[in-house]
Amino acid sequence: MTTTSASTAATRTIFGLIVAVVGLFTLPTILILGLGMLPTVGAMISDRRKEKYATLCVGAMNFTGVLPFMITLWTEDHSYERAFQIIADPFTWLVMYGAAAIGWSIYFVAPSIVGMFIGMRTEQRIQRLRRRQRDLVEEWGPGVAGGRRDEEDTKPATGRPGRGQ
Amino acid sequence: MAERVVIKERVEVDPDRPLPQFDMPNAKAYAAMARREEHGDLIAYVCEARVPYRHSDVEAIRGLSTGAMMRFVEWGVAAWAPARRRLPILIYERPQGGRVAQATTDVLEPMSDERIVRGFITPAIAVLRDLSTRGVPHRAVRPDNLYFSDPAKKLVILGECLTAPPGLHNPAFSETLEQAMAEPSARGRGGIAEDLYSLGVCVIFLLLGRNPVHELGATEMIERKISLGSYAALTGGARIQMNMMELLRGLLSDDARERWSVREVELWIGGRRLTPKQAKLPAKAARPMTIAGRDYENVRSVAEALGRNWLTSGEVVRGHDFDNWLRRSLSDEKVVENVGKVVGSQAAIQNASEAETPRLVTRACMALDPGAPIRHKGFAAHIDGVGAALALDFEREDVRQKVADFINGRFVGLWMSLQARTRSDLSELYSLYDKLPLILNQTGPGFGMERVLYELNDHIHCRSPLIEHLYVTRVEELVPALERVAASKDRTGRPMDRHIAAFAVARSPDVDERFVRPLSGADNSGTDHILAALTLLARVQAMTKNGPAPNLAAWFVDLMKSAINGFHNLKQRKAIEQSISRAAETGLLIELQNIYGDTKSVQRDQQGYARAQQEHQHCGAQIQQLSIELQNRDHMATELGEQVAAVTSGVVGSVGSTAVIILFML
Repeated sequence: MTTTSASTAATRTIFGLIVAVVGLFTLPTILILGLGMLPTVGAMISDRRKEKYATLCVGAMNFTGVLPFMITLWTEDHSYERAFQIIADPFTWLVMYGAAAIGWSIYFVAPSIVGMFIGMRTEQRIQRLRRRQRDLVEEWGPGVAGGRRDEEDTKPATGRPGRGQ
Repeated sequence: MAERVVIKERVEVDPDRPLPQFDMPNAKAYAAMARREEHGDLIAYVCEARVPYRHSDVEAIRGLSTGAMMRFVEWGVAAWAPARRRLPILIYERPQGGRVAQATTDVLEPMSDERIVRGFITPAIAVLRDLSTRGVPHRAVRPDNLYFSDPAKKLVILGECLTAPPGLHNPAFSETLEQAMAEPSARGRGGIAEDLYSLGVCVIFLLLGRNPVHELGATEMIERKISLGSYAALTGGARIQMNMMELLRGLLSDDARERWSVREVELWIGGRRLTPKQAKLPAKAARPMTIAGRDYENVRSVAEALGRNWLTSGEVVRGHDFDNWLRRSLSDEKVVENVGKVVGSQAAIQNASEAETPRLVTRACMALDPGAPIRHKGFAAHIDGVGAALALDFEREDVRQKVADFINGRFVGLWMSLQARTRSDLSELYSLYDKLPLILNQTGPGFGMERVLYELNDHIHCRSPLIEHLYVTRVEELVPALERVAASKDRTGRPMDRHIAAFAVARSPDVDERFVRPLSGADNSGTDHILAALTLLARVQAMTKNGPAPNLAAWFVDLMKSAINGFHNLKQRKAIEQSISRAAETGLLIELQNIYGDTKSVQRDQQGYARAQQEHQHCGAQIQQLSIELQNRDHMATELGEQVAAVTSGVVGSVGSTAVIILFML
């Protein structure tokens, strides 16, 4: 048990060192990523659910909005200068935060749409079942629904048509 | 003015012209006329429904050619307006000279022996011989049933004999001892010997112009006949010419073996003269036997007294004195042997239970006087007369009880074992009596006393209150009669009762007990009972092939309405209603029975109904569940919506990211 805990801690330390080393060499990227992904951080903070659906929702869209600028940085000039140029462009903010906003929109709109869909489907099923019940009553009479006739039918009756009691 | 009744297109009967001077005790006489044939004046006897007429002898009597008996012309069952019902009507030629005597108490001008021989005995003997060869006894030969055939009143003829069971209206004095001892209604068929005896009685009446013993009651008459012999008892001390004495002693012999036959009478008419036979009286016992405070001196009178006083006779039969009297005083080995055979030893009699006492008395009576009728609990009957007795008084509880006791006593076999000569006609009756207790002791419709009534009377009409007025005598007439009732407006009750069931099973070989047993169900108000009735009548209709009965079918449809309403499947119910309607229109009960009796469709309906109920219940539960889900829709939508949003964003983001990468790579 102790060995396993120590191993896990060591793995984390090594992973952290790698990230730190990689981070030292990719600071412009981190700068754009850090600023661009702030809505996701905000969502993560405000999302109280264990499953973090809001974070996932905002984060996925937010990342899509940040990704073009990161690729621009990587493909043109991976420097602070270029990173600041990108950041300084209001369009950059519009795209990154707009994408995050779309994520938020999806998050807020989806339950209503799903609710509407569930409602429709349930109503349809109820309608279908009621129709079947009506068909049964039409075919077998009101007794089949457990009415007065039903009580009559519980009396012993075998062997002859109906045995009117 | 009532409309004339037509009998078989041959005879018209006028209900407005009664002929009271020709009335029979249970048949009123009316004037009738032939439509085509040359007949003289006719007379129609309208029989009482209660009294069974002699249907089986009608055809034999029709063929008689002699003129010494009222000539039978025709018969039929017809609607008789005054009684508002159907009744049997028998047509005879009217005797032109009227009745010889209106009653047996009448006093007439005595006839000469020559006139009696030429004008009565000779033709009467010819009739009796003719009847005898046809196997039909007259059994209504009595002074008040004699007529003058011509206005000159030369020829005396015998009256009709078909309107009542044999011997029913014969007074005790004109019957042989054996017949007189029985209830008038239970005298049985009898034979030529009984007719010859009655002829002798009529000869005395005509010879003396009166009945010397008319003031005597039946019991007293029987006692006098036993103690004095019939001849002495009936002549009552009157002086009879020697030549007639010989005939009368021969005809009135109390021993049937010694009684003159037709042949002997014919020889006598032909001129043969013998010394008159002396009456052979029963042997006197050394000392009398005391029964109910009276002394009886011979075995026959003891048997008669035991049977008449059956309530107190048990003590006599069980007493030692009875055995002593038999062995020491009577000294008749045959009687002792008979008693030992059917009653048993003295020890067996002593050990018999108290409930056995009436049977002991009956057996003792049989053993003492084997030729007499069987006497049981005050009911004295010849075995072939029980049916008529039951038919005559079926409505009387006491008579039904007496007949039931008689049958349950199973005396017939014992009685037959005591008879000196076996009668072939009785062996058939024996086998019938053997199965009657089984029938009698079953209580359901088709059994019981009603069935006994129809088993013992081959031609009696169905006594069901529903169709009694239609006088149905054959099973072929049953369904048409019910159809007539069904066509009437006041159609109440059901077309089935105990009488109809018993009549059908007794009369038709095609209707056996399987068809009547379902009528015995505990609940005879339900559709089971109606269906059983329908099945029975459908069988009768099918086997008798007597045409459709649409009104009767409609009656059954009304009765079975509740059964059809009980059919669960509405579509199927409608289809069945339509097929029932079609079947009812055909008037064939079997078609209806096939529909109502289809148990498989009922089972299918029951099973389908149970499944439908389950399914309906299941649907209801599902609807309830879905309604709950609908109420909790927001919570579910939130839960699911967030997942959907996450997935959607993930997918859109991935697709977007991929697109961006691809764009930059191009």
